[in-house]
Amino acid sequence: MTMEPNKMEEVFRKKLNEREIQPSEAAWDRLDAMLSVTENKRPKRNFRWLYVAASMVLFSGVGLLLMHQERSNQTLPMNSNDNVVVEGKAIKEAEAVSEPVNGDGSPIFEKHNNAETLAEHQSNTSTPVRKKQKVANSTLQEVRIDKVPVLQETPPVILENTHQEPEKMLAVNEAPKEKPKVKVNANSLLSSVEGELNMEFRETTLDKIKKNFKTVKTAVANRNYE
Amino acid sequence: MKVIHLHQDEKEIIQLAVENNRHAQHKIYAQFAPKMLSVCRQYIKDVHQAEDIMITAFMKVFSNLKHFEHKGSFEGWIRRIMVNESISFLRVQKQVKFTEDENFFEERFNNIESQFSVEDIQFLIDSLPDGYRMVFNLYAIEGYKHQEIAEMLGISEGTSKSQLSHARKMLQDQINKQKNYDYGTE
Repeated sequence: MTMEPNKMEEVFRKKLNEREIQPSEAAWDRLDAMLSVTENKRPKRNFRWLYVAASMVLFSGVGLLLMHQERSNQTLPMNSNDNVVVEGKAIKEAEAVSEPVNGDGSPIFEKHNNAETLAEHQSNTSTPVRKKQKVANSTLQEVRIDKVPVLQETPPVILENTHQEPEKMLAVNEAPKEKPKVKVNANSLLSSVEGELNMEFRETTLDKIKKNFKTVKTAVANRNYE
Repeated sequence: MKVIHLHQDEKEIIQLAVENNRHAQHKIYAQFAPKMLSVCRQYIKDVHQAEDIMITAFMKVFSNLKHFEHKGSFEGWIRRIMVNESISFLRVQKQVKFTEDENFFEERFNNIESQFSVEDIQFLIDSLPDGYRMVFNLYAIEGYKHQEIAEMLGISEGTSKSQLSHARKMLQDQINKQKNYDYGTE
Protein backbone atom coordinates (compact mmCIF):
# COMPACT_ATOMS: atom_id res chain seq x y z
CA MET A 1 0.00 0.00 0.00
CA THR A 2 1.40 3.38 -0.94
CA MET A 3 0.00 5.99 1.38
CA GLU A 4 3.13 8.10 1.28
CA PRO A 5 3.15 10.88 -1.27
CA ASN A 6 4.58 9.34 -4.45
CA LYS A 7 6.75 10.80 -7.12
CA MET A 8 3.84 12.03 -9.18
CA GLU A 9 2.53 13.90 -6.16
CA GLU A 10 5.94 15.39 -5.54
CA VAL A 11 5.80 16.82 -9.05
CA PHE A 12 2.26 18.07 -8.48
CA ARG A 13 3.25 19.74 -5.24
CA LYS A 14 6.34 21.38 -6.66
CA LYS A 15 4.58 22.73 -9.69
CA LEU A 16 1.49 23.90 -7.84
CA ASN A 17 3.52 25.66 -5.14
CA GLU A 18 5.49 27.50 -7.79
CA ARG A 19 2.35 28.70 -9.48
CA GLU A 20 1.05 32.22 -9.03
CA ILE A 21 -2.26 33.50 -10.29
CA GLN A 22 -2.51 37.25 -10.52
CA PRO A 23 -5.80 38.37 -8.99
CA SER A 24 -7.97 40.91 -10.79
CA GLU A 25 -7.44 44.63 -10.22
CA ALA A 26 -10.82 44.89 -8.56
CA ALA A 27 -9.84 42.32 -5.91
CA TRP A 28 -7.80 44.77 -3.83
CA ASP A 29 -10.46 47.48 -4.17
CA ARG A 30 -13.03 45.06 -2.80
CA LEU A 31 -10.75 44.04 0.06
CA ASP A 32 -9.99 47.72 0.72
CA ALA A 33 -13.70 48.51 0.92
CA MET A 34 -14.32 45.55 3.23
CA LEU A 35 -11.49 46.66 5.50
CA SER A 36 -12.90 50.20 5.63
CA VAL A 37 -16.31 48.87 6.58
CA THR A 38 -14.95 46.83 9.48
CA GLU A 39 -12.71 49.72 10.55
CA ASN A 40 -15.74 51.99 10.76
CA LYS A 41 -17.75 49.37 12.55
CA ARG A 42 -15.20 48.65 15.25
CA PRO A 43 -14.87 52.10 16.85
CA LYS A 44 -18.65 52.43 16.84
CA ARG A 45 -18.95 49.24 18.80
CA ASN A 46 -16.25 50.45 21.15
CA PHE A 47 -18.04 53.75 21.62
CA ARG A 48 -21.25 51.98 22.41
CA TRP A 49 -19.49 49.94 25.04
CA LEU A 50 -17.92 53.10 26.38
CA TYR A 51 -21.33 54.72 26.69
CA VAL A 52 -22.71 51.74 28.54
CA ALA A 53 -19.67 51.52 30.81
CA ALA A 54 -19.65 55.26 31.47
CA SER A 55 -23.33 55.36 32.38
CA MET A 56 -22.91 52.33 34.64
CA VAL A 57 -19.97 53.95 36.42
CA LEU A 58 -21.93 57.19 36.73
CA PHE A 59 -24.97 55.46 38.23
CA SER A 60 -22.97 53.43 40.69
CA GLY A 61 -20.91 56.48 41.65
CA VAL A 62 -23.99 58.61 42.25
CA GLY A 63 -25.59 55.78 44.16
CA LEU A 64 -22.56 55.42 46.41
CA LEU A 65 -22.45 59.19 46.92
CA LEU A 66 -26.11 59.32 47.92
CA MET A 67 -25.69 56.34 50.23
CA HIS A 68 -22.69 57.97 51.84
CA GLN A 69 -24.60 61.20 52.32
CA GLU A 70 -27.58 59.40 53.79
CA ARG A 71 -25.25 57.77 56.27
CA SER A 72 -23.71 61.10 57.22
CA ASN A 73 -27.22 62.55 57.58
CA GLN A 74 -28.10 59.76 59.97
CA THR A 75 -25.05 60.59 62.06
CA LEU A 76 -25.61 64.37 61.91
CA PRO A 77 -28.68 64.54 64.24
CA MET A 78 -26.69 62.68 66.89
CA ASN A 79 -23.97 65.31 66.71
CA SER A 80 -26.44 68.19 66.85
CA ASN A 81 -28.00 66.72 70.03
CA ASP A 82 -24.57 66.55 71.59
CA ASN A 83 -23.97 70.08 70.52
CA VAL A 84 -27.17 71.21 72.17
CA VAL A 85 -26.13 69.62 75.43
CA VAL A 86 -22.68 71.15 75.22
CA GLU A 87 -24.13 74.52 74.32
CA GLY A 88 -26.47 74.41 77.28
CA LYS A 89 -23.46 73.83 79.49
CA ALA A 90 -21.64 76.61 77.73
CA ILE A 91 -24.51 79.00 78.37
CA LYS A 92 -24.56 78.09 82.04
CA GLU A 93 -20.84 78.60 82.24
CA ALA A 94 -21.11 81.92 80.48
CA GLU A 95 -23.82 83.00 82.90
CA ALA A 96 -21.79 81.79 85.85
CA VAL A 97 -18.88 83.87 84.66
CA SER A 98 -20.89 86.94 83.88
CA GLU A 99 -23.13 86.96 86.98
CA PRO A 100 -20.49 87.73 89.59
CA VAL A 101 -19.27 90.58 87.43
CA ASN A 102 -22.83 91.93 87.26
CA GLY A 103 -23.39 91.49 90.95
CA ASP A 104 -20.24 93.09 92.17
CA GLY A 105 -19.51 95.57 89.44
CA SER A 106 -16.84 97.07 91.67
CA PRO A 107 -13.85 94.96 90.55
CA ILE A 108 -14.30 96.27 87.06
CA PHE A 109 -14.39 99.80 88.44
CA GLU A 110 -11.23 99.19 90.31
CA LYS A 111 -9.50 97.75 87.33
CA HIS A 112 -10.46 100.67 85.21
CA ASN A 113 -9.55 103.11 87.92
CA ASN A 114 -6.17 101.46 88.23
CA ALA A 115 -5.74 101.69 84.54
CA GLU A 116 -6.68 105.35 84.61
CA THR A 117 -4.38 106.08 87.51
CA LEU A 118 -1.63 104.29 85.70
CA ALA A 119 -2.34 106.45 82.75
CA GLU A 120 -2.15 109.50 84.98
CA HIS A 121 1.23 108.50 86.33
CA GLN A 122 2.63 107.75 82.96
CA SER A 123 2.65 110.17 80.09
CA ASN A 124 -0.57 110.79 78.15
CA THR A 125 0.23 108.44 75.33
CA SER A 126 1.86 105.40 76.94
CA THR A 127 1.75 102.32 74.73
CA PRO A 128 1.61 99.59 77.45
CA VAL A 129 -1.61 101.05 78.87
CA ARG A 130 -3.12 101.25 75.48
CA LYS A 131 -2.32 97.64 74.87
CA LYS A 132 -3.96 96.58 78.11
CA GLN A 133 -7.03 98.59 77.33
CA LYS A 134 -7.19 97.23 73.83
CA VAL A 135 -7.34 93.75 75.26
CA ALA A 136 -10.27 94.81 77.48
CA ASN A 137 -12.53 96.62 75.05
CA SER A 138 -12.01 98.49 71.83
CA THR A 139 -14.74 101.14 71.88
CA LEU A 140 -14.27 102.13 75.49
CA GLN A 141 -10.48 102.45 75.31
CA GLU A 142 -10.27 105.44 73.02
CA VAL A 143 -12.98 107.30 74.87
CA ARG A 144 -11.13 106.80 78.09
CA ILE A 145 -7.75 107.77 76.66
CA ASP A 146 -9.28 110.93 75.29
CA LYS A 147 -10.77 111.70 78.68
CA VAL A 148 -7.57 111.01 80.62
CA PRO A 149 -6.42 114.67 80.72
CA VAL A 150 -9.94 115.73 81.78
CA LEU A 151 -9.81 113.26 84.66
CA GLN A 152 -6.66 114.86 85.97
CA GLU A 153 -8.41 118.21 86.45
CA THR A 154 -11.84 117.14 87.70
CA PRO A 155 -12.05 113.95 89.70
CA PRO A 156 -15.92 113.88 90.03
CA VAL A 157 -16.16 113.52 86.28
CA ILE A 158 -14.37 110.23 86.69
CA LEU A 159 -17.24 108.93 88.74
CA GLU A 160 -19.76 109.99 86.18
CA ASN A 161 -17.70 108.36 83.51
CA THR A 162 -17.22 105.23 85.53
CA HIS A 163 -20.94 105.15 86.26
CA GLN A 164 -21.61 105.06 82.60
CA GLU A 165 -18.97 102.48 82.01
CA PRO A 166 -20.45 99.62 84.06
CA GLU A 167 -23.65 99.92 82.14
CA LYS A 168 -21.66 99.62 78.98
CA MET A 169 -19.66 96.83 80.50
CA LEU A 170 -22.89 95.11 81.50
CA ALA A 171 -24.14 95.46 77.99
CA VAL A 172 -20.89 93.91 76.83
CA ASN A 173 -21.26 91.14 79.38
CA GLU A 174 -24.85 90.57 78.38
CA ALA A 175 -23.80 90.15 74.76
CA PRO A 176 -22.19 86.71 75.35
CA LYS A 177 -25.45 85.63 76.97
CA GLU A 178 -27.32 86.33 73.79
CA LYS A 179 -24.62 84.83 71.59
CA PRO A 180 -25.13 81.18 72.68
CA LYS A 181 -28.84 81.53 72.01
CA VAL A 182 -28.06 82.77 68.52
CA LYS A 183 -25.55 79.99 68.16
CA VAL A 184 -28.21 77.38 68.96
CA ASN A 185 -30.42 78.88 66.34
CA ALA A 186 -27.54 78.96 63.88
CA ASN A 187 -26.79 75.30 64.40
CA SER A 188 -30.37 74.24 63.94
CA LEU A 189 -30.52 76.52 60.94
CA LEU A 190 -27.31 75.04 59.64
CA SER A 191 -28.56 71.49 59.96
CA SER A 192 -31.84 72.42 58.30
CA VAL A 193 -29.96 74.26 55.55
CA GLU A 194 -27.71 71.26 55.17
CA GLY A 195 -30.76 69.10 54.70
CA GLU A 196 -32.06 71.51 52.11
CA LEU A 197 -28.68 71.53 50.43
CA ASN A 198 -28.72 67.74 50.34
CA MET A 199 -32.14 67.83 48.77
CA GLU A 200 -30.95 70.41 46.27
CA PHE A 201 -27.86 68.36 45.53
CA ARG A 202 -29.96 65.29 45.00
CA GLU A 203 -32.28 67.15 42.68
CA THR A 204 -29.41 68.61 40.68
CA THR A 205 -27.63 65.27 40.45
CA LEU A 206 -30.85 63.62 39.38
CA ASP A 207 -31.25 66.31 36.74
CA LYS A 208 -27.67 65.71 35.64
CA ILE A 209 -28.27 61.95 35.45
CA LYS A 210 -31.41 62.57 33.45
CA LYS A 211 -29.51 64.83 31.07
CA ASN A 212 -26.68 62.32 30.71
CA PHE A 213 -29.14 59.52 30.16
CA LYS A 214 -30.86 61.57 27.47
CA THR A 215 -27.58 62.30 25.71
CA VAL A 216 -26.61 58.63 25.85
CA LYS A 217 -30.03 57.70 24.56
CA THR A 218 -29.88 60.12 21.65
CA ALA A 219 -26.32 59.08 20.86
CA VAL A 220 -27.27 55.41 20.78
CA ALA A 221 -30.39 56.23 18.75
CA ASN A 222 -28.33 58.21 16.23
CA ARG A 223 -25.86 55.37 16.03
CA ASN A 224 -28.64 52.92 15.39
CA TYR A 225 -30.02 55.16 12.65
CA GLU A 226 -26.62 55.23 11.03
CA MET B 1 22.39 39.95 8.35
CA LYS B 2 20.19 40.51 5.34
CA VAL B 3 17.83 37.73 6.42
CA ILE B 4 17.48 39.21 9.88
CA HIS B 5 16.81 42.61 8.37
CA LEU B 6 14.13 41.19 6.12
CA HIS B 7 12.52 39.40 9.01
CA GLN B 8 12.47 42.59 11.03
CA ASP B 9 10.98 44.34 8.04
CA GLU B 10 8.18 41.77 7.88
CA LYS B 11 7.53 42.14 11.60
CA GLU B 12 7.34 45.89 11.21
CA ILE B 13 4.90 45.66 8.32
CA ILE B 14 2.76 43.17 10.21
CA GLN B 15 2.67 45.49 13.21
CA LEU B 16 1.61 48.39 10.99
CA ALA B 17 -1.06 46.23 9.37
CA VAL B 18 -2.35 45.29 12.82
CA GLU B 19 -2.78 49.01 13.45
CA ASN B 20 -4.95 49.18 10.30
CA ASN B 21 -2.28 50.91 8.23
CA ARG B 22 -3.74 50.44 4.76
CA HIS B 23 -0.37 50.82 3.07
CA ALA B 24 1.08 47.94 5.11
CA GLN B 25 -2.03 45.85 4.49
CA HIS B 26 -1.69 46.41 0.77
CA LYS B 27 1.97 45.47 0.91
CA ILE B 28 1.11 42.14 2.53
CA TYR B 29 -1.71 41.59 0.05
CA ALA B 30 0.47 42.40 -2.94
CA GLN B 31 3.19 40.06 -1.71
CA PHE B 32 1.00 37.02 -1.07
CA ALA B 33 -2.16 37.38 -3.16
CA PRO B 34 -0.90 35.66 -6.35
CA LYS B 35 0.33 32.62 -4.42
CA MET B 36 -2.78 32.49 -2.28
CA LEU B 37 -5.09 32.73 -5.26
CA SER B 38 -3.22 29.72 -6.64
CA VAL B 39 -3.86 27.88 -3.37
CA CYS B 40 -7.57 28.68 -3.45
CA ARG B 41 -7.71 27.70 -7.12
CA GLN B 42 -6.47 24.20 -6.19
CA TYR B 43 -9.71 23.64 -4.32
CA ILE B 44 -12.15 25.73 -6.34
CA LYS B 45 -12.46 25.27 -10.08
CA ASP B 46 -13.92 28.70 -10.81
CA VAL B 47 -11.21 31.39 -10.70
CA HIS B 48 -13.65 34.17 -9.80
CA GLN B 49 -15.08 32.14 -6.98
CA ALA B 50 -11.54 31.33 -5.85
CA GLU B 51 -10.79 35.06 -5.83
CA ASP B 52 -13.87 35.73 -3.68
CA ILE B 53 -12.65 33.14 -1.22
CA MET B 54 -9.17 34.63 -1.26
CA ILE B 55 -10.59 38.08 -0.41
CA THR B 56 -12.64 36.75 2.51
CA ALA B 57 -9.60 34.80 3.68
CA PHE B 58 -7.49 37.98 3.52
CA MET B 59 -10.11 39.70 5.65
CA LYS B 60 -9.58 36.95 8.20
CA VAL B 61 -5.83 37.32 7.87
CA PHE B 62 -6.03 41.03 8.74
CA SER B 63 -8.59 40.67 11.52
CA ASN B 64 -6.53 37.89 13.14
CA LEU B 65 -3.13 39.41 12.44
CA LYS B 66 -2.70 40.51 16.07
CA HIS B 67 -2.81 36.81 17.03
CA PHE B 68 0.05 35.87 14.71
CA GLU B 69 2.92 34.96 17.02
CA HIS B 70 5.83 35.06 14.53
CA LYS B 71 6.67 31.44 15.40
CA GLY B 72 6.13 29.77 12.03
CA SER B 73 6.47 31.35 8.62
CA PHE B 74 4.06 34.16 7.87
CA GLU B 75 3.31 32.69 4.45
CA GLY B 76 2.47 29.33 6.02
CA TRP B 77 0.10 31.02 8.45
CA ILE B 78 -1.69 32.89 5.64
CA ARG B 79 -1.82 29.73 3.53
CA ARG B 80 -3.53 27.83 6.35
CA ILE B 81 -6.21 30.48 6.52
CA MET B 82 -6.68 30.25 2.72
CA VAL B 83 -6.98 26.45 2.85
CA ASN B 84 -9.46 26.57 5.75
CA GLU B 85 -11.56 29.21 4.00
CA SER B 86 -11.62 27.16 0.76
CA ILE B 87 -12.63 24.02 2.62
CA SER B 88 -15.37 25.70 4.61
CA PHE B 89 -16.70 27.26 1.39
CA LEU B 90 -16.94 23.83 -0.27
CA ARG B 91 -18.47 22.24 2.80
CA VAL B 92 -20.94 24.97 3.72
CA GLN B 93 -21.80 26.67 0.41
CA LYS B 94 -21.44 23.71 -1.89
CA GLN B 95 -22.68 21.21 0.69
CA VAL B 96 -19.98 18.65 -0.12
CA LYS B 97 -20.77 15.49 1.79
CA PHE B 98 -18.42 12.62 2.44
CA THR B 99 -19.79 9.12 2.41
CA GLU B 100 -18.26 7.18 5.24
CA ASP B 101 -16.20 4.63 3.39
CA GLU B 102 -13.38 2.70 4.98
CA ASN B 103 -12.40 0.82 1.82
CA PHE B 104 -9.22 1.84 0.18
CA PHE B 105 -7.30 -0.10 -2.33
CA GLU B 106 -3.75 -0.32 -3.36
CA GLU B 107 -2.90 1.68 -6.40
CA ARG B 108 0.37 1.90 -8.18
CA PHE B 109 1.45 5.00 -10.01
CA ASN B 110 3.38 4.69 -13.16
CA ASN B 111 6.36 6.94 -13.01
CA ILE B 112 5.32 10.10 -14.73
CA GLU B 113 7.61 12.48 -16.43
CA SER B 114 7.77 16.00 -15.14
CA GLN B 115 6.63 17.16 -18.57
CA PHE B 116 3.26 17.93 -17.05
CA SER B 117 2.57 21.61 -17.02
CA VAL B 118 0.85 23.26 -14.08
CA GLU B 119 -2.22 23.70 -16.26
CA ASP B 120 -2.26 19.96 -16.95
CA ILE B 121 -1.95 19.23 -13.26
CA GLN B 122 -4.72 21.67 -12.41
CA PHE B 123 -6.90 20.12 -15.12
CA LEU B 124 -6.35 16.68 -13.58
CA ILE B 125 -7.17 17.91 -10.09
CA ASP B 126 -10.21 19.79 -11.35
CA SER B 127 -11.57 16.56 -12.78
CA LEU B 128 -11.81 15.10 -9.27
CA PRO B 129 -15.06 15.39 -7.28
CA ASP B 130 -14.92 18.14 -4.61
CA GLY B 131 -14.50 15.68 -1.74
CA TYR B 132 -11.67 13.75 -3.37
CA ARG B 133 -10.00 16.95 -4.43
CA MET B 134 -10.07 18.34 -0.93
CA VAL B 135 -8.47 15.29 0.62
CA PHE B 136 -5.95 14.95 -2.20
CA ASN B 137 -4.92 18.62 -1.93
CA LEU B 138 -4.68 18.53 1.85
CA TYR B 139 -2.69 15.31 1.91
CA ALA B 140 -0.52 15.41 -1.22
CA ILE B 141 -0.02 19.16 -1.71
CA GLU B 142 -0.33 20.69 1.78
CA GLY B 143 1.18 17.72 3.57
CA TYR B 144 -1.43 17.30 6.30
CA LYS B 145 -1.74 13.96 8.10
CA HIS B 146 -4.90 11.88 7.78
CA GLN B 147 -5.73 12.60 11.41
CA GLU B 148 -5.54 16.36 10.77
CA ILE B 149 -7.60 16.08 7.58
CA ALA B 150 -10.20 14.03 9.42
CA GLU B 151 -10.50 16.79 12.05
CA MET B 152 -10.62 19.57 9.46
CA LEU B 153 -13.35 17.93 7.42
CA GLY B 154 -15.24 16.31 10.29
CA ILE B 155 -14.79 12.82 8.92
CA SER B 156 -13.12 9.66 10.17
CA GLU B 157 -9.49 8.97 9.50
CA GLY B 158 -10.52 5.88 7.51
CA THR B 159 -12.73 7.99 5.27
CA SER B 160 -9.87 10.37 4.68
CA LYS B 161 -7.67 7.47 3.62
CA SER B 162 -10.30 5.96 1.33
CA GLN B 163 -11.00 9.37 -0.25
CA LEU B 164 -7.32 9.75 -0.96
CA SER B 165 -7.05 6.32 -2.52
CA HIS B 166 -10.11 7.03 -4.69
CA ALA B 167 -8.60 10.33 -5.75
CA ARG B 168 -5.31 8.72 -6.61
CA LYS B 169 -7.03 6.01 -8.58
CA MET B 170 -8.99 8.57 -10.55
CA LEU B 171 -5.90 10.62 -11.23
CA GLN B 172 -4.03 7.51 -12.40
CA ASP B 173 -6.85 6.60 -14.73
CA GLN B 174 -6.85 10.12 -16.13
CA ILE B 175 -3.10 10.10 -16.65
CA ASN B 176 -3.26 6.68 -18.34
CA LYS B 177 -6.04 7.93 -20.59
CA GLN B 178 -3.97 10.96 -21.47
CA LYS B 179 -0.96 8.80 -22.21
CA ASN B 180 -2.96 6.44 -24.37
CA TYR B 181 -4.42 9.43 -26.16
CA ASP B 182 -0.96 10.88 -26.66
CA TYR B 183 0.41 7.57 -27.94
CA GLY B 184 -2.60 7.19 -30.19
CA THR B 185 -2.03 10.49 -31.83
CA GLU B 186 1.63 10.03 -32.32
